[in-house]
Amino acid sequence: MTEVLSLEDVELTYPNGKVGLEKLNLTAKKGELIAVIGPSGSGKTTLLRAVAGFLNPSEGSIAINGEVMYRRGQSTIPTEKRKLGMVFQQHAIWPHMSVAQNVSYPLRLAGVAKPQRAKRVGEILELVGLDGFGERDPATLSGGQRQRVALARALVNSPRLLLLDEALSALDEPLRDTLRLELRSLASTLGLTMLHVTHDRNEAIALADRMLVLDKGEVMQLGTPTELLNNPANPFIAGFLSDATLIRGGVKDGLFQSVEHDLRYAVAGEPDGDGTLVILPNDIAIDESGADSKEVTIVSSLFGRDHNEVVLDWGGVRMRSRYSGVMHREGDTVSARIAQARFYPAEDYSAPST
Amino acid sequence: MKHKSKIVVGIVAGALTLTACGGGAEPSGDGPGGSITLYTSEPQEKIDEIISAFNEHYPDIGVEVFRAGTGDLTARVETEITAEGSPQADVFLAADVPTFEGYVERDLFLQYTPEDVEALLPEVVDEDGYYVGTRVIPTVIAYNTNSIDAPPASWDELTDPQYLDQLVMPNPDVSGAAAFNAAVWLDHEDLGVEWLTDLAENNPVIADSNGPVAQSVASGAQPVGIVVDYLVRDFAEAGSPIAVSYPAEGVPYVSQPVGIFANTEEEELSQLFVDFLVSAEGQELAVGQAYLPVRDDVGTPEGAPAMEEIELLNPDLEHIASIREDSVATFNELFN
Amino acid sequence: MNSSTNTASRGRGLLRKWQAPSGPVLKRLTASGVPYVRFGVWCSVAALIIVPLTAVVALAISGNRWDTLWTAEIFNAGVNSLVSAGLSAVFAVVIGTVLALLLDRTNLPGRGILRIFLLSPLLVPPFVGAIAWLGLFGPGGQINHFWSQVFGSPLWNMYGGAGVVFLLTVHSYPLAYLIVGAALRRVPGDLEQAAQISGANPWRAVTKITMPLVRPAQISAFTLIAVQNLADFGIPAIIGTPGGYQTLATMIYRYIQSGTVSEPLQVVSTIGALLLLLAIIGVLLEYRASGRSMGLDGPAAPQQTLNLSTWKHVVGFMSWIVGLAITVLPLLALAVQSFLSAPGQPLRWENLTLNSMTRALTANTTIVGAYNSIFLAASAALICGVIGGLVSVLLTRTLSRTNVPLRIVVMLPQAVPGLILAVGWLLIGPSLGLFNTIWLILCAYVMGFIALVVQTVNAPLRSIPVALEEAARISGAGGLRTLITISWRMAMPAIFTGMMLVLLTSVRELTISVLLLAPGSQTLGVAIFNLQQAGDYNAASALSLIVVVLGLFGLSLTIKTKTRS
Repeated sequence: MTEVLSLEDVELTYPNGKVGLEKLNLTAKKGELIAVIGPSGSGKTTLLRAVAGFLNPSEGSIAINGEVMYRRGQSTIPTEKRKLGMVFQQHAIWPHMSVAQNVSYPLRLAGVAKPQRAKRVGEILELVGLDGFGERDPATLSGGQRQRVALARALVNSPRLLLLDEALSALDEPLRDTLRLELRSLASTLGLTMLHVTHDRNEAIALADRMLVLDKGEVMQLGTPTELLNNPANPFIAGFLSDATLIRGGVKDGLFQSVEHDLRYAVAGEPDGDGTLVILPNDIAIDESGADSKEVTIVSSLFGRDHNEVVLDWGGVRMRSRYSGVMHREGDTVSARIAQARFYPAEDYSAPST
Repeated sequence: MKHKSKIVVGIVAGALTLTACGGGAEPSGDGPGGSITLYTSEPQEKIDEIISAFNEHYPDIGVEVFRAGTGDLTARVETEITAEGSPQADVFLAADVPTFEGYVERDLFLQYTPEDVEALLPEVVDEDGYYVGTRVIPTVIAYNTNSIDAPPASWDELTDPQYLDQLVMPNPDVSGAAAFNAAVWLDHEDLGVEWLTDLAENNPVIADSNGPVAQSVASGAQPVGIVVDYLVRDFAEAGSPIAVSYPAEGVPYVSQPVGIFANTEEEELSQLFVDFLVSAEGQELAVGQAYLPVRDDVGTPEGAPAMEEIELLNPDLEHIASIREDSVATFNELFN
Repeated sequence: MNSSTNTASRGRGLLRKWQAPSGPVLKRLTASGVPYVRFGVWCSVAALIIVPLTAVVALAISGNRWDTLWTAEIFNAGVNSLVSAGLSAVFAVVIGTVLALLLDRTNLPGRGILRIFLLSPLLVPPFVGAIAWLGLFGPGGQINHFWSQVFGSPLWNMYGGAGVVFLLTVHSYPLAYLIVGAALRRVPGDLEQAAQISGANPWRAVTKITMPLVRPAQISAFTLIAVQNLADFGIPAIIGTPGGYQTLATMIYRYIQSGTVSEPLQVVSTIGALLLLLAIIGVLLEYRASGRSMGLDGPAAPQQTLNLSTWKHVVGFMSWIVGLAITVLPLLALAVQSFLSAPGQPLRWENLTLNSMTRALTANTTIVGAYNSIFLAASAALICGVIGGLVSVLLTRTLSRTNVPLRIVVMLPQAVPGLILAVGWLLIGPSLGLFNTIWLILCAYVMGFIALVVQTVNAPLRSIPVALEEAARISGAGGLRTLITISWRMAMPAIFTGMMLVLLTSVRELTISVLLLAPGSQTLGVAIFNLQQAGDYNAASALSLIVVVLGLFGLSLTIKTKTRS
């Protein structure tokens, strides 16, 4: 199977010395949707713009369908010749053109004859649910409709790779949800390869075949959503994706001792040394009494459709927990138990930057 | 003095405490005091000098100057008569007798004969005593000494094709002297409309007033110009390559008469100013400003010929006054 | 959707600015006391704007001199005015657009400093520019002098129509650049990026996507400049008239100053009414042409810098040469004329003197002119600040049916050539007892420049949420109190900026003050103009040079205090 996108050791430093990307490797297979996620300033947009050709890396190489787009010392293929599609956060619909003119623009530049162009624009508008909107002025469209126009424009010339830059972030929640579903179904219908940059964790988890988590230009973890959720590669991933509680401390003789709090936890089999104890919210069981359970106070409590979210005061440590069952109020005392915790030795430690 | 603007200037000048200029002089207590408004076509710099010399004698008389070309001044006077019923100035010091004759006919002037009138050239004193000339200003041929080796010696020579596109002269719509000249030329038996037509063939540049004409000749933009003589001496003294030629046919001249408007509220102060202009001191100042004087006891400016060496054209001024308007129209027709 | 939908170009059209504010409006402020303020504002606006314009139109109609419009003289002047204003506005917009692209979008070397140079004609009063350029391309100008000596004939005598168009262009392209450049910066970068992704190269993306989006700004720049140049007096008077090129402005001046026509006021009012009609038609046309508003929402994504690549140095070199030639060269010529002891002398060390400088500075007329200009500018700034500030507060912070007419009336003088404003005051001056006084000039300044304050204040004030006043009301302040302690106070910084604009504009004004000139009321501009007209080019240049230098100095001070605050 061919790799649609392949990035090798891509490094990018801005003229002001700020590091945009560091030693980044990524491949995307045909039909794969890769979600790129990370806190602001993590380099996710930088990555997308480097693939688009708006930015050039300082090192490494970028190839699409095996064709080199960028390699240091070689002539760079400019954006307009990369045959990509892109949807921008603010849709970027040209206000001086009608919907059809917007959508047909890439075809016009590609030299497609007028009759074919009209036919293709009709098809693609139908595909995005805007059948009959061709002659409309973009100013008369709703936000969701404009984003569909932008999507149609990005898809019309069958791009090799579709880039989505926070494409759904500007939309309201129910609409965003609908478009997410449509995007996913489009991806499988058209066999589209997509690179989807977002700051929305749930969106990334919901959409992605694989997720790439970046922080300060570095890859934190690359894998399927399940892998990242269940086996975070480091405390950062756990904190960023799952709001896990991170406790700094050290292990001695199989027992973790927090630096700042009076908290111990048995971590059998871990070698001695400093590190971080990570407790995922799902791993704190509420209302379960047992030998290792503890009476804790609820500091704040949110009701949810599937599970409630509470913050507990665990002997001075604030911990996030997700549980199903009876909802507790602030100030209630409940018995809670840490079902599972992971210890990450110090070299892996990295605090989320937000 | 009835201008509200005076108050403003007074306030501003007072606020900024600068008293060097004439208008804001400190009252000294003795001597006549008040202020008069003067409409004049004298160059700004020259009239400023005259007023500061006047103020040495009469520090308490403020002289408010409005300077413009004679044409502009007469237009202003007309507007003021329409709007306010009478001219808004006290003293009128501008280019030519016909304008003054017209005002005399309309009873706009007071009669006044200056103190030592016997010392003045009789030609410049109005017989009826309404106005008196203050300088003799002949219009001459000026040439750039860098560009012209053999200067034209007569008006007639200016029609020679060699001066095509080389000439510059003032606009009679703006310059009173130029309007007067047009009438005198057209009235002259050897020149007349034929000569003026030939002159127009040489396509002269028509500058707005005498100043730009002299400037243009001095800078060499147009090597030959028809212009009042004192400006040529001014520029030559400053170092410009410019010289004057007095044409053989004779030169028309204006006397820059001064008169007092009948509606003045400061008759005495105005008379003092007129007296000063033609006094020996006032005339010495005029000579120092490169003018030919109206009395023969003060010499002539440096570089100027003696008065008797200059052939002055002395036409019948009443006749000139009567053909003036038509002459300007003829001129405009020929030159536009 | 983002609530702050900004239109493709602010300042897109004179008329568009008159439309009701899109922002929040305080409804309850209409109560208690505010009607008195509104009444007072309407009274002053009626006296300062409606009365003089009505006087012009009334005399034009009653004077019945429409026949004069068809005399060859006026017809030619009218054609000259339209052609010179139209051509110079087209050239200015073309140059301004090229500059906006070159300076703001490309990697042109040294574009930061070049921008300052290229904006400098904005600071030089047009008539001073005319005097300066005459020093180069006048019949006796330095370049023509040199050219004559080497090649036997002058390079270009700028007297006449071509010179007028050239100079009007030089003095208006910076404004075009500012307007078009501002619109260019507001076009979100992702629109171009979307075009590039679609297969357009960067230059094509600029020309096909961004350029159409700045077209409304180009049209409004054209209208603004054309109206301004239609009324300009200094340039055609100094450059045009000696070459026999009359415009309506110089014609009106000649009629009024020299009375070369019978019933000058009637004739001039007729011309004025015609110009008024032209201005209104122009504004309406522009309103239609600037078309539907193109909503560009959201924060503008940063724009890509266009790479001039191999052309970088060639284009850079050319831009610098042209930029320096049209900005520094005339000032050098001005300096040469100021220091040369007499015209026609060769430029040598021993011929340089400070005489003209001293003469210009110590002349009575200069001193009176400077006093008058400063007095007029300061008073006009103060009055415009108060009235304009109140108008802005009423327009943006209150709701009233009279707001739209108020906006139209206040902005109208900006679309009308300054000459007509002056003629209006000339007409009503005698009945007000202000004939032949400096107050007439002040009235005309206030009339002409209130719009500057209103424009400056409206935009920032409109973006302040109405909740600030609502909070004052909740806290117990009455309508008038809220208007004064909250709305007016919030507007103060912008009002101050607007007042500075009025000050800088009126201190070097010529067109209005030359027509309303009275004994003892000449302004600095008139003093310079008269020196030039009287043929004392050296003194005129010296005074011009001083004005330019002081202007630059004053502006740098303003910028300094602004950045400090």
